[in-house]
Parts: sequence; C-alpha cells; structure tokens
Amino acid sequence: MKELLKTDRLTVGYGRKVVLKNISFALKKGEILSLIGPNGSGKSTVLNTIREELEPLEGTVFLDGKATGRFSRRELSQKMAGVLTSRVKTSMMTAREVVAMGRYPYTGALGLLGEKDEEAVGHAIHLMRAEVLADREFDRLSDGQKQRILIARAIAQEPEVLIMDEPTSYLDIRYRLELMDALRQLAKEGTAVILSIHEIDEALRLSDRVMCVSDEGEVCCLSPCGVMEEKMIQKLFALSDAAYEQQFGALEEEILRSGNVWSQNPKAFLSQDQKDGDQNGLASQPPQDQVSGRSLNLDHEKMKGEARKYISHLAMPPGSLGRLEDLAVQISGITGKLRPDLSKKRVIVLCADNGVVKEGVSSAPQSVTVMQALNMTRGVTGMSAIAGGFGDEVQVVDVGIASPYRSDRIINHKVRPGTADIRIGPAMTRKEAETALSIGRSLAANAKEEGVGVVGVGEMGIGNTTTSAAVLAVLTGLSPDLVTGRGGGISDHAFKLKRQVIADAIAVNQPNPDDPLDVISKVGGLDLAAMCGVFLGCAEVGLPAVTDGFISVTAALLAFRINPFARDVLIPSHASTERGYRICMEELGMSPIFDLGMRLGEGSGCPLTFRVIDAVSSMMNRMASFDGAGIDDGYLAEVRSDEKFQE
Amino acid sequence: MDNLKGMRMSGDSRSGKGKMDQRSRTVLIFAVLIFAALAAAALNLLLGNLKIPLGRLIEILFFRKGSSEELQIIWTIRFPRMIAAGILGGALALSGFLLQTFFHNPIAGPFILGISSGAKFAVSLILIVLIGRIGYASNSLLVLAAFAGSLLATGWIILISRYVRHMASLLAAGIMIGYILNAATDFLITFADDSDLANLHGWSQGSFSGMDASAAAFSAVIVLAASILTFLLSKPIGAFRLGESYAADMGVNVRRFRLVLILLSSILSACVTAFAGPVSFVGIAVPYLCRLILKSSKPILLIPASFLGGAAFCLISDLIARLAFAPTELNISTVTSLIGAPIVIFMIIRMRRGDS
Repeated sequence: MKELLKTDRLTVGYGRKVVLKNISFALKKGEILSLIGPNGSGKSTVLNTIREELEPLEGTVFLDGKATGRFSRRELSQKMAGVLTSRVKTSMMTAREVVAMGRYPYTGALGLLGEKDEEAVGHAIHLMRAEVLADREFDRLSDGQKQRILIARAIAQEPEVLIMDEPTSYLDIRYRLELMDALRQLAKEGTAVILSIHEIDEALRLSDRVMCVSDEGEVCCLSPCGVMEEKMIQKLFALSDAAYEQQFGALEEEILRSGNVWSQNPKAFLSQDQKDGDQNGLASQPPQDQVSGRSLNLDHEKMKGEARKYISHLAMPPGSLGRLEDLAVQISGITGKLRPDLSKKRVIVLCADNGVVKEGVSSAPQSVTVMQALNMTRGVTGMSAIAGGFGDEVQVVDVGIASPYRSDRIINHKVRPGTADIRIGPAMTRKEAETALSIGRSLAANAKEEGVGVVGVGEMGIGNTTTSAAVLAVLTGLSPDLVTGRGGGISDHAFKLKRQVIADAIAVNQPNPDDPLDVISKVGGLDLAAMCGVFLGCAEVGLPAVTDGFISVTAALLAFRINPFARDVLIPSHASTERGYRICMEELGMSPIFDLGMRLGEGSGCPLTFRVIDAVSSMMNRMASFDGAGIDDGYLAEVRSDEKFQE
Repeated sequence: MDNLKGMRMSGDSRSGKGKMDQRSRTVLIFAVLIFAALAAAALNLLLGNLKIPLGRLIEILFFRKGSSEELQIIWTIRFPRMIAAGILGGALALSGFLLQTFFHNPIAGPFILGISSGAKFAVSLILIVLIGRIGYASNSLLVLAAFAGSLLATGWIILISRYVRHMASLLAAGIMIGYILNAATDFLITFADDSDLANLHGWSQGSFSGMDASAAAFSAVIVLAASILTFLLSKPIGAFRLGESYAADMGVNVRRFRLVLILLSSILSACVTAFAGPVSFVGIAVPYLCRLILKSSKPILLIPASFLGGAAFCLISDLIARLAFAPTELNISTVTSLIGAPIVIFMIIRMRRGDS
C-alpha cells in the first residue's frame, strides 16, 4: 500500500525552541497512529506541524508523496482535517451548522451546501451519534457534546488523514468507546487517523502503531506489542513496574473498601428508577446467597471479645448484670466500638394501608391509619407519648397510606396508596416490594449518618396483623389457626373470618416460602416490606435495631430469612400478647426483655427498651473496674481462666 | 439510557419549533428591514421645516417638477443627507459586524482599532494648528484629513498584526493606538483657542448636516464597493466563526484574510468618520441586534441585514435629530445612543427570558 503521510527527519518547535527532533514515520491508508506521552511533551506541536499550522523547524511532511508546502490550501484541507484543542466559542450557530463547516473545501463561492454536502454532513452526524444534538445551539452543549460535534465536522470534511488532538478528553466512557468504533469504521473505509490520547489502554487496543513522545524530546514509533515489550509506558511516565499492570492495561489501585457493592450506599436508591436492579450497580434485593453486615467481619468478632473482657473487669460478680452484659457485648459487636455513643435514639414508624381490610378483618376503619400517623407526629399516641416523654426521636414514614392527608412532618415515601386485597390477588408487585425494602434500608442508612445510636422499628397500618399472620404462616408452614391473633380486638365472627381470609390468601397467591420477597409481595404489606428493609439496612451500617411487637418481629423474621446475619443487630423488646409473636420469636431464636402485657404495636415497646439500653451504656461508661474500685480481683483468676473470651 | 428519553432538551432546539420556522422568520425580518429603511428614507424627504406631501415628493423626485424652493430643499439638502445617513449608517453597522466577527467580541465597534482617534487627531491638527496659518479650513480639507488620520491608524494596526499571533493581542494594540492618538489630540487641545475647541467639539459629535451631493456620491461609491466585497467574503467570514485555527484547517488563508478584514472595516469606518464624524452606537448595536433577531450568525444573512438595519436606524435617528427640537439640531450620536441603548437592553432581557 502506498504511503499516505510521511515525515522525514521532522523537527518541530516554536521559533528557536526545539520541542521534538528527528521524527520520521510513514502512515498508510486506513492506519491508525496514536501519540502517547506525558503532558507538555510536544504531542500537540507535532500534530499542528503536520497540519501545517506550524512551520517545521527542519525536515518535511509529505502527503501522497508531495511535500505539503506544494499543495494549495484548498487541496490540503481536502486531504487533512483536524480536531483541535482550541476552544470554540460561537453564537447563534446550531451544531449542524458547525458540522457543515467541514464542507468548506468543497462548496462554491458563497459556501452554500449542495446535496452531496448535506449527505456528508448527515453521515458524519450519524457516525458520532449526534442526531439528537444537531439542531441545538452549539454553544449550549456540554464540553463532551461539543467535542463530538467537532469530530463530526472533521469527518464531514472527508479527509484522507484525520488528525485529532486529544479527542477523548471530555468524553464519558460510552462515547469514548463509540469514538473508537467510529475511528475503526473510518479506518476500514480508508481514512488514516492520527490522534493523541491519554487513555493508554484504549490507544494500545485501537492503533496499528504508537508514537511514544518523551519529555526529553525523543520520539519513537512502535507497534502496540512493542510498546508493551519495551515497557515504554513505564519509561515515558516514570512509573514503577508495579503500578502499571501490563496485562489489563490498567493502573492498579488498592482496593480499600471492604464489604460488597450493594451495601455501600443504600441511600442512593431512593431517587433511582427501579429498572433492572443490577444495572445500577446496586442490587435491588440482596442476592440470596450473599451475606452482608459486619458480623462476618473478623474485626467485630474481636470487638465482642474485647467487650466481654472489659465487662469481666468491671467491679461486680461475673455475669451479675445478666442480660445487660449480653446486650453490651452484642451492641459492641454491632457498632464495632467498645463504648459507642447511643445517646441519640429514634423510633422509625412505617405506615401503610392494607387492602385486606375490605374483607372486614379489622375492628377499626382504614382511616385510623392516617389519623394515628398524624397523631404520632404530635406525640399524642401511645408510643409517641412515651417516646416524647423520654426525649426519643420519632420518625413517621408514609410508605403506603391510602387516605389523602397533608403534613410536612410525615416523611413521604409512598410507594402506592395502600396494597391490594390479598384474598383475591397479590398485595403488590415484586418491584413495589423491592422499592419499599430499599426505602427501609435508606432510612437505616440515614439514621446512621445523622448520628442515631440505636433505632426502634414500629408500624401503623390497619389490617397488618392479618398480613403479618399470613406471612408468618407461609414462612413457618404452620396453619393460619396457630398464628392468627385478634389484633386490635375483633369479635369471634370476625376472628374466624380472619383465619379464613388468610387461608384463602395463601391458597390464591401460592407464595414461595423460600423467597421472602415473593411472600411479602403476595400476602404481606408495604409496612412489613419497609420494616424488613430497615432491619437489613441496620445490619449493613452497623446500627442496633430494637424490634417491637408481632408485626415488627415478623418483619425481622423476613429480614433474617433474607440475610441470616441481620439477626445479629436485632434487640428484642417486650413480649406481645398477640398470638403469632411467640412463634416468630422462636423462629428467630430470640426472647423478649420484658413482659408488661402490651399489645399496642406502633413501636411502643421500643422507648422502654431504649431505657434498658441506657442502662447498658451506663454500665459500660460509668462503672469502675476492679482496679478503679480498689478491689484486688485475684480471687477471680480461676473463674476467668475457665471462660472463653473469643468465639 | 432510558431515563434520557424523558428528559426535555432545554429550549434551544430550533428545528421548526416556536411560532414560525427559521426560513419564514428570516424572510419576514428582511421584509421588515427593507420596509423600515425605505419608509425612513421617505420620511426624511417628506418631513422638515417645509412639509412636502407625498404626491409632490414623487413629482419632485421623478419628474423634477415643483417650485424652485421645493426642488432646492429636496435635491440639495434632504436627498443628499438622506443618502448619506442611509449609506453611512449601513457602513457603520457593517464595520461593526466585521470587527465583532473578527475579534469574537460582541461589543467590538467600528472605532475599536483607533480609527476615530486617528481621524480626530488629524482633524484637530487642521483645526488647531493649520487654521492659524491659513485662516480657514474647507469642508473637503477636513474630510481628507479625517480619512488620512483613520488610515494612519489602520496602517499601524496592519503593521502590528504581522507580529501578533492572537487576536486578543491585536485588539489590545488597537485600543492602545487609540489611547496614543487621543493623548496626542489632547496635547494639541492644550494649546487651542476656545473657538478652535468649539469647532473641534462640533466635529467630533458627528452630524449628517452639511452633506452635499458630491460628498454623498463619493461616500456612496466607496461604501457600496466595500459592502459588496464584504458580501462576497461571506464564506471565509463564516469559517472564522469557529476561530482562526479551525478556519485555517478548512483552507482559509488566515494571514491574508486578517488583512482584508482590517482594511475593509477600516475603510468603512474611515468613510463615516471623514464625512460625518464619529457616530457612536450604531456599529455596536445593530449587528448584535440583527444576530439576536435572526437567531443566526450566518454572514450571508447578517451582512445585508446589518446594512439595512444600520441604514434604517441612522435614517430614523437623523430624522429625530433634525426635528425633535427644531430648529436646533441634536447631534446624531446623542440620538442614536439614547434611542438605541434601551432597545438593546430590552432585547437582551427578552432574549434571556425566552431561552430557558
């Protein structure tokens, strides 16, 4: 093949200053040559000299065998076209007009475009996927969009040699890849391409030849393999061997972060459109076999051991504070701190309506949900009054209230206005369940970020003892009769109806007991889904989560089934008298902390448990050790040596 | 990227959206401009101390029939003045357009390269120094001097442009030359009589009065020649919109082109300065407004549009200058700035609100 572009001992620079000397290379039709080298090494100088914008200091550039000086300007511009680094500032020019400027060497005296010109312009725009930008004003485009238009302009000039100075700057990865494709396409059609580029791996993949331009003014032309063999990258950029990974062409970085991708930023989810969960890099639902939460982290097992050791040195008979000690160890393990700051406490109340109330399974009308939600923001309901009295925060979240209301103190994350009747079909779609779940996780992450030390998880939603019982029945495989309770208080007739409704719901929907999300979406509720999400979220960020009554522990069970390690962050509260509660707790392997005969829900057990946690904090922070108390604990040596402080 | 589908491109799409599409808009605007110029010209002939009704005007113009007074007024006073105002107004706008394109600067004006300073310097030489020796200065002498002074400044700019790589430097050089010449003029003023100062001041305010037929003819020839040449250069001027580097890439001889642009714009502004003194505002505002209204920067559109716009604007301003406080004549720069500036501000605000 004939040589299209050739340089012969070209020396380039400005005035008397020599930048690069002795450049000799030849480019054939359809070949791609990349220039790589450090900033300021002279890549632009070379390109501008080839383009005849700069005078060569020595040597000649040949096009088609003829020295470039011998071509007329018009001929030259028909043979070469450039994409430059100079900033283009236009006013009142559309992108299409800019591309059309590339036809300058071909149009008549007044520059009017003919049919062939329009075709070339259209083709260039299509190649750069810029149809959408064509009629917009050029100056208003983003830098990356302007770049693509300027590349299109050069393509429209139909040159034999395309000369591009850092064309990939400003382009995001998708457009970089598309540009590479477009260049390959052009090369196949016979255009030679010279470009300077910073992305080395792309340069090596794309080019037929690579020109390496060094800081010291030396230039050599190698094949991509040659570049690798001669370790040019390391030489050019003064990188140590280890830093440039030859094989993958990428610079290695230390992978600092532990934990998997989806646990890193669950908050981001709230504003995203739920399409294919994986596309966002965050799974909408944690893969069934993947674990999260910090318990797996050996550091936190160690923390538990440290906590046990610490407690054993406190001035009291070993184990005499009973479950308080266990709680302290658990909390240290969850938070990763020996003495975490638990002063800020928050009860998160998830409110949603359930379509099943149409079946008459509830004593209260559906409007009570919204009324109580509003009342909670005023601190006058059972839970909120107690919490308010203690100074705990209450966060009321709407994930699915059916009745309209207006309040700027209820946080609105409404997924849909109430679920469907589970007796005749699924409560919600799987996607809606996933959304509610992720809302819960975000709430947990937010709480952690806002410095909350421990959360309590409550709910408000007429009909949710029905849905919780249905979920429990499916998860345990037990008959509805065993798990259904009277909820808020219903008549015998309604109670019988409730059990029947649950049985029907399970029969109609056939939820898969091994897929917790399927269960939630078919016979559960938005409150259950969101609460489950909160528990999962707490496991991810290391936040202790206090459960409440029947509905709360059902949601905890769901979380446990999704991620077994979620159980480690759960702190039980009161013993609810609702029938299904005990069964659920047995499944979880937990036992309540106190029994006051309560069965309100709303998260009312949480403020009470918070006080126990306060006691735990005081124990860890205020109690003196044996040394501090001035007691010689030698007498305990034997007792201690028998105990294990590590798992 | 499905979410892009829902995104609205902010209101700068110009493909057939809005009240009318680009082509009809352009045609309409040109129609308005032509009408405005013609109407203003006609009004300039019709109105004045002696009102001449339209019928008589047609007779006078085309059949040379009328009283000697009317013929005198129309042919020796109003007609040449009208031609001058129109032609020179167009010249100003065109010069401004060229410089705005060349310097990529929307507020460059026809005198930015020191043209008017050069002219003023030369005129002040005549009025202050020479007048002492000779005793009087004829109008044509002043015209010649102004021309010479303008071209002197231009000559320096061209010399400097050989050594300068970037336009911004050239702009700075032009402004500096203006400063030097202004200083020289001020130097002369220090030694001037009060009457000389009054004369100089009168000249530097700019006016279309005292325009006689030969002056009008002369300026018309020069301006029209320069304007046609400019129009023929639409293609490279258009290429220049992308900057010098890209213009070179497309095949424009940038060195030569720079020279031609400077020469053309200088001739146009020199002509105005020589015959009417420095008339401010028109050269800056009219091309800018035309670009906004036409929503395009294409030279084949902007060149004729600016010329017509400049002509119409100057004609209307001259009419107001003549009649507003008759018999006292306001000076033309006052009127152009007072009327023009609010219009520009209005357009800017309206355009801003129009684009989201």
